[in-house]
Amino acid sequence: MTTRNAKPDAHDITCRQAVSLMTDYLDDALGPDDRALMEAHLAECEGCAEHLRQIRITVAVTGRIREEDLAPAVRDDLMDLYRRWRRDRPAS
Amino acid sequence: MAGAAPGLHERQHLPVDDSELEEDGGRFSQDGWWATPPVHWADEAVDRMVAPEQAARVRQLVEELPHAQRQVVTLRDVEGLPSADVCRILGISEGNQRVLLHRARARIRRHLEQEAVW
Repeated sequence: MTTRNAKPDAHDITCRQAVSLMTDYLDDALGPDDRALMEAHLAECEGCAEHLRQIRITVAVTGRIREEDLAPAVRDDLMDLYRRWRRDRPAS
Repeated sequence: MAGAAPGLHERQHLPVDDSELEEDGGRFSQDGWWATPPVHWADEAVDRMVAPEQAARVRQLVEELPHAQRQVVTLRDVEGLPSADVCRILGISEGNQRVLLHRARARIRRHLEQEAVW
């Protein structure tokens, strides 16, 4: 088992890796080491910082969709999921 | 700088491997750095993004996503459910859920970019 011997550097991960980790990062699902790598990269890489802002805007814009405005087939699919979930989950 | 970055190479647990990343594919050099850095639109475009016609287009885009991606992004980002609930409802793993969410958001992001940049 090795320990990290230095502070993470912006180039410890590539931009492709940073982008691939962004969904986990936003979900707070990265371990402390990966989170530190990500934050070191974002602090130095304007391209990745912009990409992250764009993903945040994407999430915000999607969040403005109201369930009742979705196409009936999409809404029915959602209702089916909820119904099945309620039916199948073990009683507590 | 030469070669791939050292950081995550030894770790081998990237949640999304390269083959899963087709949505963002051609944007990186072989070594994994931006080949074409993102065009800046996040700050400037916020106002336009919330316009009603934009909301209708994003809704349509969500409706047209592949089924599994649509289910995940609808539950997570439209309904606002936490990751753990969505995994239980869909009976999928956290990792699988995040790959689907990643792809769905990437597709919507690309659409917003096309609207924002002209």
